[in-house]
Amino acid sequence: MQRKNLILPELLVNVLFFALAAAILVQVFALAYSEGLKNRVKTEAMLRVQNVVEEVKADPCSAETVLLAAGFQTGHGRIFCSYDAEWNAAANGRYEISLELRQTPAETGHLFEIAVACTDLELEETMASLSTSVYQRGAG
Amino acid sequence: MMKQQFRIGVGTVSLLNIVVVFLFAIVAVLALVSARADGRLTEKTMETTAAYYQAEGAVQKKLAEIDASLQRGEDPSAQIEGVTKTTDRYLLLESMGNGNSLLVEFIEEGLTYRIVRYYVKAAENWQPQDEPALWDGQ
Repeated sequence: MQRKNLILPELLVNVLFFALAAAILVQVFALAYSEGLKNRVKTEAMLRVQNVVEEVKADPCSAETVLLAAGFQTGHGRIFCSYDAEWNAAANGRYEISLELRQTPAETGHLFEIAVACTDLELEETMASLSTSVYQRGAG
Repeated sequence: MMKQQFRIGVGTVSLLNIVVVFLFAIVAVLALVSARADGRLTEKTMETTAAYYQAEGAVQKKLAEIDASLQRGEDPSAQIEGVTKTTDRYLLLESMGNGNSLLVEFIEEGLTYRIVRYYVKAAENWQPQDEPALWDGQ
């Protein structure tokens, strides 16, 4: 008889304990998910920045034409393209990849200085950036 | 014939609850640890990629100087920092930080150069950050 009376309070305590544990664990899962999402976005940003750098390095003289054909725009001395959260090209998107290309004459050719950055426009934070140079003998 | 009645004893639910919460906690902690490790790996990859392109930019600037030097009929190894001459070729070494270097091997061809090798040279004294304690089989 005494044992029967204990079952209900035990169940109540268990439900409370489970609710408390679930509340904490759901937050831990949410944190893990948001960290994973942040990593995926960073990796994607880096790959896209690297892709633009390689495209420019392949032929810096016609890089602007190639990028404009791929959906980039020009303005304020740079070439840029914005993307939505799913990385589809979109006007006024969340992410922006911008390229600054400077050509300086060298003694026997030209040196192209390339700087590409990916910015999160919502957080106003640079997610990935790369800068390099390409030397082209006798290029104009 | 008496039928046996099924009853849950006191404490069974508590025991089951503790086991379930414990398992959930393990999964949650593993997910978080895995996400953090991925984050560290992403940061490291980004740093290495940025260092590579930085070093490549410096190499390209030096190649412009080397080209000009060869055009003038001068020896680039005597003028440009990081350039050394071996018996048949020149070596251009640019540090990428973290012990790795970008190494360019080129040969003189008339009044210009031709690149024969272009690669990342890993540090010779590389050590893993954390040596895992592996079972030695005994």
